Amino acid sequence: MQFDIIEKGQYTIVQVNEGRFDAKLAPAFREQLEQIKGNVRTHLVLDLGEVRFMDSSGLGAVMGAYKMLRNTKISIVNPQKPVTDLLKLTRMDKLILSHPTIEDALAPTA
Amino acid sequence: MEAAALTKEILLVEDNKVMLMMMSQMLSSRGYRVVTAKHGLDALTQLDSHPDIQFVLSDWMMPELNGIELCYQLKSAEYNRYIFFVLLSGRDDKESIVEGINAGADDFVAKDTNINELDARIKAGFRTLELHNQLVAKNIELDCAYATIKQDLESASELIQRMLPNQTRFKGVEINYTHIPSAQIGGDMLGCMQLDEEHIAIYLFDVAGHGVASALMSFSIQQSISSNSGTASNVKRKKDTDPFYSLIEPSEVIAHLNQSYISQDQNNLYFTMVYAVLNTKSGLLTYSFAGHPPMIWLQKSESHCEFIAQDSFVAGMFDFAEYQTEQVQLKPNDRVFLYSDGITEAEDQQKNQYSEVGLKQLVLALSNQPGDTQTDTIVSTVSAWCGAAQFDDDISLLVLEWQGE
Repeated sequence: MQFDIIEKGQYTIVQVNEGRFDAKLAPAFREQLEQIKGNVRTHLVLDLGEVRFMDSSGLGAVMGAYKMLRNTKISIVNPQKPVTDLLKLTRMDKLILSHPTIEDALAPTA
Repeated sequence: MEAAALTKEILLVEDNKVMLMMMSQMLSSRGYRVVTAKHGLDALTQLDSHPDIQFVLSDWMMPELNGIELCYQLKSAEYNRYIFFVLLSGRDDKESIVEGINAGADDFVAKDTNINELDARIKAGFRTLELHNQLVAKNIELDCAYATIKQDLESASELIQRMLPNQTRFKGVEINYTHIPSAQIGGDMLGCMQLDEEHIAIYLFDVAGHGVASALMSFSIQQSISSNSGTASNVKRKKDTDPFYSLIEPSEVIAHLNQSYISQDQNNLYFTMVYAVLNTKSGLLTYSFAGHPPMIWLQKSESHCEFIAQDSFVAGMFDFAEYQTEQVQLKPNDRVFLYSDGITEAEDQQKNQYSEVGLKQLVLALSNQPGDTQTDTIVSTVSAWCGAAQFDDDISLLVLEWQGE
């Protein structure tokens, strides 16, 4: 599976199980999000721990998620350095906070 | 081919005259048009003169060319059409059936099968033929559509090439660039222009994604930046006092483009960009980024390379995005490199990326080459490193050299 979706009460976790979040994966991600957006309550957690490389299409998909879920809190969990660098370069780190673990992302203070 | 156009025509191959006549009548009574042949060779001749026949009902044992041999020929890839082949025989032992299947036969019917079963089997065969013919027709349509798209992409690619700057030599400034669109064309574009006697603008942007949508957006952005009519444009504004215009700051140029290209739809097309203005007298370079990879600054006199980076939102995505103008002071013979991620994300056979750091080192290693040579060498070096004939993404690289006053 390219994605695992865990829906638990107020939060939804989308785990990306691919090493490359690129033009090949981005449409499927967008589709997946379209399907679950009605169920996402208050917090969407993107677990990108597996992603070693994200290209401009992958970034576009993440930005698209942010725009699609305007009133939902979005967190990124466990990003590797290339992803962190790209999020910082494009200031997406200011809009979507990153956390080392899912527990941290779900902590009330996060 | 329309499904309805499929004639229910059958070639019946049988060496026994009585049997031939009997079966022929039986089939005719069920509404099939029957063409007959008395053995395999005759069958080939009949098929040649009846190019619409796709259904063959053939006896097994025959002189000249038997049923199995005929089947082999009609089912070979070289045969000019798809044939549904039914072997007709008294033999229905397992070994014969295996032989028939190996020859490519689609069905087997014992000669003493009653007409209702035979008719049902023939109908099933025609259904298969119909599906096959529809598939072939669809494939032809797809091939045509693909050829059209490919041609369109090539035309678009040519058009994009024509949007590249012609003038690259200015007083005190030399600009060199390389722009190689990927096979599916992407959204990279670059440019340079004289803003006034003392200022030259350079820029490079990369619309995310590939294909027509990205190329069209790229085309449009290029138009809005470069259309420089009189005193008012996206890079200059009118003023009431002498010299009756002022240059628009880089951050404002980008902010304006950002607002113009905010995507409303789900398409999420966006672009990253760097726009810089050089004062050709002082060597002051002012610049602004929109989520674009850093420029590389080759400081010639110190034999040193540095990144000029700015964290910033991409353009065309967020209406709240703000951009900053910053500046660096160049020294004579310094060079500034603008590029898109196509070159730094180029991969070798082991999927390692060339990387920004790699590019910076390469720029430094080739710093003694003249500007035009250096640009070409960078691209050919990265290309050789990748070991592939073609880059996966657009490659664009623009180098500005300030020669001093």
